[in-house]
Formats: sequence, C-alpha cells, structure tokens
Amino acid sequence: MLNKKRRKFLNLLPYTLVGGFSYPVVKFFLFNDKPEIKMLIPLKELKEGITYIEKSKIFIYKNSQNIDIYNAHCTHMGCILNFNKDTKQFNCPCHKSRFDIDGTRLRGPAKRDLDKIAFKIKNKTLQVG
Amino acid sequence: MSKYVAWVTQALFIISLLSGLIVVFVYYPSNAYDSVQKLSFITPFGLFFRELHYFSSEIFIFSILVHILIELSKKEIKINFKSWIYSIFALLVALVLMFTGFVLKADQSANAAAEVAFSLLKDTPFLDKFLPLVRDNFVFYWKFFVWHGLFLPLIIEYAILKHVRKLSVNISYFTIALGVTLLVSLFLNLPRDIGLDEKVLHVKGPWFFWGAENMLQAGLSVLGINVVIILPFLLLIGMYKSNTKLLKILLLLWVIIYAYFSV
Repeated sequence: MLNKKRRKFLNLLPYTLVGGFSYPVVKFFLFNDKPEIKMLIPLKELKEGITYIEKSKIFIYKNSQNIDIYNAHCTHMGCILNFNKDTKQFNCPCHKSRFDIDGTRLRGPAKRDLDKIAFKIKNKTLQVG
Repeated sequence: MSKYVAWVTQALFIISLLSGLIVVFVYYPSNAYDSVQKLSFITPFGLFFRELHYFSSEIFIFSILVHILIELSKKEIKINFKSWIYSIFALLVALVLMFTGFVLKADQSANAAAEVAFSLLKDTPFLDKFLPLVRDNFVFYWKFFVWHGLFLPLIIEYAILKHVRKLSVNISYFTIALGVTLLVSLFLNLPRDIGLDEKVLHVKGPWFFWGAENMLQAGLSVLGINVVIILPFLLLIGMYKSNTKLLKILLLLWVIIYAYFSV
C-alpha cells in the first residue's frame, strides 16, 4: 500500500517539477505589467521651455501661460525624439518625422501629433499619472 | 565548394558562440550601455573579444548566404526538403540573433532599433500577442539579453543540427574561420556606439534593416514591411519544389530593390 502511494508520488514528481520550473519562465515572458508614470515635480523646479525626463521618457513644455506633457516616443515607430532648441521642433532621428513645440505634426512619416500625457497641478506641484 | 563553405560556417558559429560566452560575463542588462563601454575600454582584452564576437557573427551571416547561393546555383537542390527548411530557418534565426545582438549594445541606435521592432510587432495582427516576449517594462534590455544569450543560440543550434545532423569542428576550417575573422577585425572597426546624451540627427539599425527603415521613412505601412521581410524566405522555400527561373528572377529583383532602399 505504502509502495503504491510512493510510486504514485514519484510518478507525479516530474510533472510537478516541470510545472514548478516553467511557472517563472511563463510569467517572465507573458506577464509584464506596465508601470504607470507617476511623478511629482515642484513647479518652481521647472524651467520655461522643454524639459526632458529620461526615466519616464516624457517632455514637459512650460511657457508663461501653460504646461503640456508629451510622450517622447515618435507616433510613427516609437523612436525617442530629440528636441532642437534652435528650430524649437522635435525631430525623430529614425525616420525624420518632425513635430512642433506644441506637439503638432509638421512632417511625416508620422501621421498624428505627439501623444499628450494627463497631469494635475496641486499645491504648486505637477502630478503626472 | 558548398561543403567547404558549410565547414567554415560551422566554425564561425562556434567562434561567435565562444566569444559570446566570454563577453556575457561583463554584460549587465540593467546597466547595459555602461557595461558595453566598460567591456570595450576597461576590461583587459574586452574589445578584442567584442570584435571577435561581432565580426565572426557578421561573417557567419555572409557565409550562410554564400552557402545558400551556391546551392541555388545548382540545377537542383540535392539535400532533402526538411534539411532545406532548417537551413532557411537557421538564416532567419541568425538574423534575429544579429538584431538582438545589435540591440544589446544599448546605445542610441540600439534603443531606436528596439523601439522600431516593438512598433512593428505591436502593429502587426497576431504578432502583437508576442510583444511581451521581447518587451520588458522594468529592465529594457533584459529579454533581449535572455533571447540573445540563451534561447536563440539553442534554437539555431537545433536548426543547424537538424540541417547537418552533426555539429563538429574541423580544426583546419576552424583555423581558416578564426584567421579570416581576425584579419577582418584588424582592418575594419566596430560601428561607433552613439552615446546616450549625444545629439544626433540620424540613427540607423543593423545593416540588414536599412532597406526596411528607409521604406518606413518613405511611408510604407507596417503590413508592407512585413511582406518585404518575409518574401525572400518564402521564395527560398518555394525554390526547393520548383527551382525555376521565375522564382530566381523574383529573388534577384527583391535583392536589387532592397539594396536600392538600403543605400
């Protein structure tokens, strides 16, 4: 009786091991929660013009009346845009799309304007996400 | 002739594998760019092994292409269909390996190449399901590292084994392959790594992707790019059953058009 139970257990063991080892592999490849962009930036720390936040891949555009936040990825194929201070335009180094400082598309192959990111201003602090 | 090229190709693969095994010890996906720079400029013999890895892989691709071209130049392909399919598959995996290797250098061009690959996957029906296989939202280069350092070498080894039945090293061909790689690395330089803070007007992906990049720039849709990428592989598979002039002309046309867009 004990032998039978032991055999049954031993028969199940390889499946358990395979299942156990495959769990982290499957989890690693198939599930990947996207971390939300969450940031707090005191308004006084923001300079006028464009500020690039490398960690979150966003551009913050501040002028005397307004603040806008753009996703720094090109809307064509997702390359990170460069901001040209002289022309005040965003340039895509991959396929040469161009966007104005307010995120408007100026030249393709991108077909739409830059994606804007929602934010709030509370207690003189910019809250992203 | 094809046999000799095949031996050199196998030797190049082994050189690429062994040099990769050495450079992997100083590569940290969470600090990818800095670790590549450390490998190139601080680690003793780091640049030597990086160049050996890079050039042996590049020549490996060329020798696979030459090997396939020699087979195509014959009146009929003499290997069996399965073996032919495995060789085409090995070429495809070798290109993906080269691409992931390019991404792992982690400079601006690598980052852009990865982003373009994500977008291509994301905008392709069915393939979009596979995006989590390569995109890691926490450590950008982590999954590329796992694919390049573990899964893809295993897959290509499997394909080569199925193609040749036995992976063996002939010391003469190994010496030739090593000699050619060292000679090439003496005269050619690695492509320059573009620093993360550098302001550059244009970044490029790996050379075999230039055609596709320029087609994207010209406004070709993602679906169109997928057709362009998959077409030569389909033509090569089709050539086994009917190695006709028409398919050869179509392949030649593809090469000419792709080369035109690449330059």
